[in-house]
Amino acid sequence: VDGDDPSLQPSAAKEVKLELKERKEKKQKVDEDEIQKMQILVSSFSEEQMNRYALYRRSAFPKAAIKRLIQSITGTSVSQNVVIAMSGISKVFVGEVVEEALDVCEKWGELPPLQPKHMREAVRRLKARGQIPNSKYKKIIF
Amino acid sequence: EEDAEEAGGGLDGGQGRRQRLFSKELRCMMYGFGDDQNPYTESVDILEDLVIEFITEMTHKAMSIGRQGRVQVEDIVFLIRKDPRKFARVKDLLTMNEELKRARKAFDEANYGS
Repeated sequence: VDGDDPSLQPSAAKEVKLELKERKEKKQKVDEDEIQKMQILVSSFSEEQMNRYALYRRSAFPKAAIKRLIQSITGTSVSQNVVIAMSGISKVFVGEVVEEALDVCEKWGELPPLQPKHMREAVRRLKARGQIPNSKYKKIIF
Repeated sequence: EEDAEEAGGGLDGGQGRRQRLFSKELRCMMYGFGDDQNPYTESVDILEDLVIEFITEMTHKAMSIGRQGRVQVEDIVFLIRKDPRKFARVKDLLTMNEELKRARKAFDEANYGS
């Protein structure tokens, strides 16, 4: 096939192929390292850390409720993939708010459980960074 | 602190709250993300309102792009393209779902013929 394309020298084509293969192998090695590091980390968890990690992984929004919510807004049906995607990004969103709230809580010299004032300050900060969608109000730059 | 009402019905303490949709799941999520094992109900409620607002915004935006009036996965992916965490998460979830479907199909064909 290389011989058919006069603009590509056989050796150049081989170089490209080799580089792609090396990049793929490197990525696989990085993934394997990541997996190994995670295993070492998880195996050194205390019981409390393990409990928390298990819930971190397992907690999820009930698909039926999310589907109902979206469909009540659109008035039409939505695919399973839409429900999966929306549930997933909603969980990421919750994580962002909780992490920010924990930051606020710590900065104010206080402890969990998180209080409404922490949540509200967290939202204020995330909005200022443009991390919370808000189409109801136009940002005035000057 | 006042005792909060149980989720799911009864008096709402005068704040006009609608019925709670995912209190239980949110509590687990908050603990998973670093809150106390027993989060304050008021905080859980605030978070639920935020999530519903988030989903509502996303849904309206998705309806206004692509195929009008409908929400499709492509719309969601487009809307969060600039948010690295959410974008990566959606890609992962959709890939995993495809792999699961393929695996299930292969299993069914092996057991029951195509």
